[in-house]
Formats: sequence, C-alpha cells, structure tokens
Amino acid sequence: MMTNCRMTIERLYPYLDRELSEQEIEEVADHLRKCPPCARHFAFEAGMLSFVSDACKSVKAPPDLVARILSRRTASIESDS
Amino acid sequence: MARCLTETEAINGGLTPDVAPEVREELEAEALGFIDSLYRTALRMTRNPADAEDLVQEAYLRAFRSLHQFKPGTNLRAWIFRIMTNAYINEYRKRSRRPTNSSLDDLEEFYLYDHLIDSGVQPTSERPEDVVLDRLTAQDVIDALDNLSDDFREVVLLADVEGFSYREIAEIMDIPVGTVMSRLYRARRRLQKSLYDFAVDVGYISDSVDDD
Repeated sequence: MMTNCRMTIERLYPYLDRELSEQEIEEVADHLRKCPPCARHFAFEAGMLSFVSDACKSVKAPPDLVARILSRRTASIESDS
Repeated sequence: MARCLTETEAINGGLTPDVAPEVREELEAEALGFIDSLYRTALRMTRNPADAEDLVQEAYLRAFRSLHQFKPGTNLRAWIFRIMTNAYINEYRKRSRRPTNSSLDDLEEFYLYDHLIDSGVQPTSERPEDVVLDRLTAQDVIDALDNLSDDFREVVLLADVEGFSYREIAEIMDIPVGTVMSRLYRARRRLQKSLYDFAVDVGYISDSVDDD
C-alpha cells in the first residue's frame, strides 16, 4: 500500500496532464478508487490546475486586434513591393 | 536583413512565393483563430495590455512572413506559439528581468497541499484545501503567476491554461521534454508557495501548527 501510494503520487502531474499510457492511467485510477487520502490529494491538485486555468482563460483579445494585424500585414506588403 | 526581392516575390507582394494563395489564406485564417489564446498568454507574459497587443501583432506578422516554413499537417497552434515565444525573448525579456528565486528549489513537491494538511487549521466541517480554493480569487492567482520568472510563468501558461502537451511545450520553448517536466513541476511548486504565503498573510489559513 505504501509503495503504491508513493508510486501513485509520483504520477500525479503526468496523470493530470494526460501524459501517461493507458496502462499507467488504469493503475493510478485503480489506486485512487481504493485510497481516499490519495484521491483527496489528486482532487486538490486537479482543482488547483483548473483554478489557474480559469483565472487566465476569461481574457479575450481586444475585438479590433485581428483587423489591426491584417492592416499591418497589408501595409507591410505594400511597403515591400 | 535587406535583400532584393525575386521577381516572383515582387509580384507576390514580398511574401514568399511557395505558398499557394488559397493555402496561405486558409492558414492565416486558422492562425487568426488562435488570437484569444495568444493574447491571454502574451498578456500574462508581458503583464500589460499594450505590450501584449504589440507582441501578438509581431507574432502574427512574423508567422505570415515565414508561412513557407510551416510544415502542412503539423501543429499550427504550437508553431505560432513558438514564434511568439521567440519574439518575446527578442523584444521583451531583456526589459523585464525578474529574479529567478533559485533558492526555492528545495521546496516540497506539493507545497500547498502538504502545508494545508499539516497546518493547524481546524474549521472542523471544512477541509483546509477547500477553504483555500474557495477563498482565493482569480486575481490572487494572477498576482502569484506574475511573480514567477519568465520561464516558469510560460511553462505554466502553456500547460495549465493552453493545454499543450509536454512534447508541444518542448517544441515551443525549444527545450528537451525532461526539462519541460522539471520546469513545470518547479513552477507549480513556486506558484503554490506564493499562494500559500498569500493565504497566510490575509488570514485564510493559519501558519502555526497546534501542539494538541
């Protein structure tokens, strides 16, 4: 059990980042089903990652930015030719 | 950088000739679809809207100029993020150096969780980690992010906000995958320490471990 907890926690970020193989995912998921303390820790770290994501994701580019890029692109073509 | 345009380039308006116009149009439209994603990353990298707009514009202009170097079928989003990273390094990084806090490298891996679990917080019905997640605001997270060094901030943005894989981040930042992983874990650790210190400062949690 102890080894399994340690191995599972070592895979915490690769698991949450979806960087594990199918088999590794199943091993971690299996352990989490049986081990509430590890499951609690994983839930917290997953919450932290989505917290960071949500904090930044609400930002949108200014509405006229695409138009400004396209006009600079056109201007740079005109000055080149 | 000044060189004469070839005849085809001149006809083509200075843009490289080997991208068919319809392909160019399609790629440019697809690339412009990533504008929110690039802008929010640029905003957190430069920490100010005017510089973020300049950086995004610069990234797109560079991308449009070097579209012939893009390999069709590969990841356009990662490609343009790489261009923006290089533009940032060239244009902005020198102006806004921040200390890298390398003395914090011996922090525990799961700094915040470990400290919360060990902390003397006893709001009996609540778990300390829930208390922290419930009370911290988006601005608290952004402040903590802004205090990370450039390399750490970027790796967190690419992984946690933009959802790039370790391999894609390795391409974008031009570092080995192993470095992506170690940098990402260290960055998350520092971010957590920063949030923990903040939560203690404002009294969301108590740093003192009770004796009983």
